[in-house]
Amino acid sequence: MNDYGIKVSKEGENVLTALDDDLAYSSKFNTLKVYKKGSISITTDGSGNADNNVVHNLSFAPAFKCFIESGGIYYPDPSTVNRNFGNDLFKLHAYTDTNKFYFSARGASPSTTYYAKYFVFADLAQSFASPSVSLPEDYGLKVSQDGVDVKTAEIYELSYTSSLQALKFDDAKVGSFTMSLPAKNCTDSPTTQSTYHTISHGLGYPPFILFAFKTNNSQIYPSSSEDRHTFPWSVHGFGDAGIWVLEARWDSVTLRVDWYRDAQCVSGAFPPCDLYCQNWNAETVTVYYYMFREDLSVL
Amino acid sequence: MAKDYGVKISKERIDVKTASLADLQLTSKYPVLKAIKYGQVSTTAYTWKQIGHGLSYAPQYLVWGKGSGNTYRFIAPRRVIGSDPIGGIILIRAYTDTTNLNIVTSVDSDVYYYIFVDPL
Repeated sequence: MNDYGIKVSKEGENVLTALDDDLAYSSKFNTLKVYKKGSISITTDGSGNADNNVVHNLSFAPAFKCFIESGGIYYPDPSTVNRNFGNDLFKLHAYTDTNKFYFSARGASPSTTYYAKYFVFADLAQSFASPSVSLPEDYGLKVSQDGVDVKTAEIYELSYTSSLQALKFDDAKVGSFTMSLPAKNCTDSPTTQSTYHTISHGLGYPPFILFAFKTNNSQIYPSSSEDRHTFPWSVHGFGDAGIWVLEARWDSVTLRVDWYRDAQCVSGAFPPCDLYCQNWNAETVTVYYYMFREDLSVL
Repeated sequence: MAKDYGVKISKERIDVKTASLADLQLTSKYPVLKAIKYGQVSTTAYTWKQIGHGLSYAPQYLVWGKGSGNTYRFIAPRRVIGSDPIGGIILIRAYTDTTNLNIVTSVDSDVYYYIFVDPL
């Protein structure tokens, strides 16, 4: 780090001696800056298709997050299998390009309205080195990334600007928990097994959450027990047999993470299932979560 | 704010002394994710890409991949059953270990990533 800049430590930490992850903010690091956030909905046609978008005009494809909302329940990133909950999450898609954030459905339930909450950040999701939008005011605090002149920095070259809201997490709501399942074989009846874990988060609103997990089961690809994967997660076993799913949902009171495994081969597989069944080892999953001070319900 | 010192920055035209949390752009009461490394890498279909992070623990991260035949960016994790009717990319997955951020995509792609000093 250069010998100039800004460092703000977390509460109770000495800023002079704090480790990097004990800092609330440091100009040494880039931060995610919320450029636009809000609600978006789509109503599908008879084929279950629909499209809607929000213009951002940043000139680059920005970083973003999207949460699906249904009846006050929130689900993380669409476009991922979620068989256990049995909804259409994996038929919904969120994405950005150089001037829009998009929310779409393909092959979802017909004549159905889907709701989502989105965050578009003033931060890159592609390489870019051209002019973007200008910030409006001539006062406030601007901190450029290391090596960039703050007076001429583009919006995506700023470590922080008071023109935009930083994505703030709650240290007291960062944590982990474990779930375990015994071994399951394809000769068992039933072949399915599931468990879930619920925590009361106590925030009083449905928060923006980031998730990860690790597992001690080397059958999950890749195999190190210290790997931290984002989820929702779904994977088939060898020969497309069996399925392993981890998914989350939450509201203003609780967070629930569901884990589902099926030792049977997928329907219609050939040769017969018993040649390609996926047995699952006894397994413990650790779930990690970061909850943020962003109330999804007011977007 | 719990203590009578720290840093608070309010939204434009909001009095920082009375601003609610929703009206604060930054406050030392709540930390932000701090990106120690970020940038774009090219991936080859179904080949794990490794990016060293220089931390001694598995850190928090975010990853977006480019679709195939379009300019759309999709966030990891992405796992679409069958074909992808929007982006032409049925799979984007990522994980961190104590050494690397690891990324795999179902098609050749440009992937943008953020690795944060904040641990998982």
